[in-house]
Amino acid sequence: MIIRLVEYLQERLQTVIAVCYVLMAGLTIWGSVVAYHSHHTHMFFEKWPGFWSLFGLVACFGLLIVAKWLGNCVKTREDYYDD
Amino acid sequence: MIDFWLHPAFILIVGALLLPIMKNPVVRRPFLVLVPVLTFAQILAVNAKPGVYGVVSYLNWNLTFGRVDNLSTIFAFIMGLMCIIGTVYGMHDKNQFQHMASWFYAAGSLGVIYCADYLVLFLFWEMMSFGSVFLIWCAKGPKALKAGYRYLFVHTAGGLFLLAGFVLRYQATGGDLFFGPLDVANPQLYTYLIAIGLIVNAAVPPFHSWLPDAYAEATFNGSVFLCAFTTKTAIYACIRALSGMDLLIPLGLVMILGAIIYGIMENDSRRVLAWDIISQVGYMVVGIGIGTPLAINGAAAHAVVHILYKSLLFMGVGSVMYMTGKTKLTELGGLYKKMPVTMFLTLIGGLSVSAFPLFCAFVSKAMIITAAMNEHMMWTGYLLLVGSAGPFVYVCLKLVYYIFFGEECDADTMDKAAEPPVNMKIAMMFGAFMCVLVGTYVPFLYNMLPFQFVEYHPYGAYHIAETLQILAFAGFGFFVFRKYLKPTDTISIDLDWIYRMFGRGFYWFDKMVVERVDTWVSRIWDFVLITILMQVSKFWSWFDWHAIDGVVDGLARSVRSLGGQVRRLQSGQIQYNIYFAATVMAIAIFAYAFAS
Repeated sequence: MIIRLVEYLQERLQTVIAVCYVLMAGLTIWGSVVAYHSHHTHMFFEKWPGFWSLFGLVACFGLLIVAKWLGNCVKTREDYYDD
Repeated sequence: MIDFWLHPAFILIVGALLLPIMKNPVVRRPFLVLVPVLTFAQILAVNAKPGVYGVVSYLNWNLTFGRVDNLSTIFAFIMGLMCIIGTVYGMHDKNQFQHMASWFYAAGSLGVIYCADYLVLFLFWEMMSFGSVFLIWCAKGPKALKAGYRYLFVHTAGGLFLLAGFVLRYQATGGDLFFGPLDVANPQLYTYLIAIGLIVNAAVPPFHSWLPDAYAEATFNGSVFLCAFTTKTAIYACIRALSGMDLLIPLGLVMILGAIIYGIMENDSRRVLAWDIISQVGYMVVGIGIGTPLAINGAAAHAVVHILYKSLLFMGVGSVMYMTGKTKLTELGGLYKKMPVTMFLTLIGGLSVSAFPLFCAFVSKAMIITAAMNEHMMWTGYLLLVGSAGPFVYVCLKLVYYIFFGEECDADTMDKAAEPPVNMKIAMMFGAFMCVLVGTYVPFLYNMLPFQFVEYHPYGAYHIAETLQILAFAGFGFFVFRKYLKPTDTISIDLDWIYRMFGRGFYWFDKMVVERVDTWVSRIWDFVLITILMQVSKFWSWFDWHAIDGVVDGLARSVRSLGGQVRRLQSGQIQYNIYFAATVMAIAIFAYAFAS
């Protein structure tokens, strides 16, 4: 059943991606509305529309860029310690 | 009434000692389930009656083996549960030695959790180190052997820091061995020594490199035990002793973010998970550093859920390793076709570590972030939130994608791939069930937390919206960047380089300097001292030959010559004898007459 579900989704990959985009947009709108009305925000900028979406994206990009840059410095061959 | 308190660790130790005689699988398998289940039952029984038990007088000390309070109960509960899951997962493994090591290791953890003084703590602390190292050595092979020695080296060093710390404290306080909160506001040398001893086991930088090094080399089921006990027992000990120590906050943040970056770069699936342990333990360390009741609740809760989802992930990856013999992401891919159930259960572990709503980490991680925000540590709070994007990217997406989806692995690996034995699946299903149970039925976890007066409600609309947005857009970031994230056949240099290179440098120094000096000293010895000795010997040889032997030989020659003369006198003819005797007598008479 799991295999069939995975293959069903793989066959409709473009649709899955489109649904994901729609969900992301919907989530951002809903999240912005919730943040606007919420008293749980910690700082004023958390009420900005789409703040947490942008936060997630920037956090991910930041981590990936640092990992990519650091990888150039610290990555080495697998048998580095073997000899 | 007899006041008898049975330590749960005692059941595991006795079970481990009896295990070698259980050779028949019909007896051994039920026994492997029975012992951890009995231990867990005893933990529940012990936890039901808080108090101080098992006090033993030894020399001038009162050693306390059983302190049952709000903090020890929650940690003992999850360790007992984990012991059942881990043992069932590896139940089919015929290596009795490994099961014994696992139980000694778990017993050490329970001993630490229930103890109330540093001597007992140290005893069980070392039992954990020596029990766990066999889970690495049981993997066999030179890499596991070396990793085990490095692991033991680091933990022994950590243990010595702890020992030095509490001995100094004993001296400074006039004999106090009580294992409780240290005065972190006015730290002394012993405070730092004890802190180092504890945080080495929590893999806090710069003492963290042992973790990915060792856990990636352990056996398929050994790493399931390892991922649960050492770091979380250390977190328990840190909560007990170091709550509110400010220094832990930056250290925890370095753990969270640094480990995510190293996890992203990693190729070995178990190392990815090992880096994620450091990252998630970083949240707990930050919580301990903040030290408020909410933060401590968060640290304890996150320790519990971390054990659940991380063991599930290690079981998923361990199943892949057990069936295919592969752990590198570059050698795996497309396994969902052969291992769909394992994929599904590993995905639940991935969603749990990512703190998706309805999964366990959602109800724990946010407590620590909220505690930071409540204390107006805004930078800390936002950095913790940056860190919450990481696990979704490199565990849930990268790890699951490159093992079970992505490019299909080679035909040989694909042929070997299949669902693991039923006991492994049962353990994973139970772990997945617990991840969802804790994430959905919040009181299950919250009723066990140390500070019951603190209220926290994780399922607020704002928290759900914030989390989902961060995760969704972090996932989008992965999607955009995915070609740069492709695993490579590399390792990443870390701080273990220092002691690995120190060891290699020591070897080089020994070979190039000590050995050469030794050779030169030998040569000088040969050239100077032996020559002098030879000359002296030659002289004494000459002296012996010419002086001693000359005197002795000369004497002998004289005696022989005299003997020859005497022999001539004794011709045997009577007239000659009378003649010589008369002559001698005449000489004697004349001599006497002239002399008088």
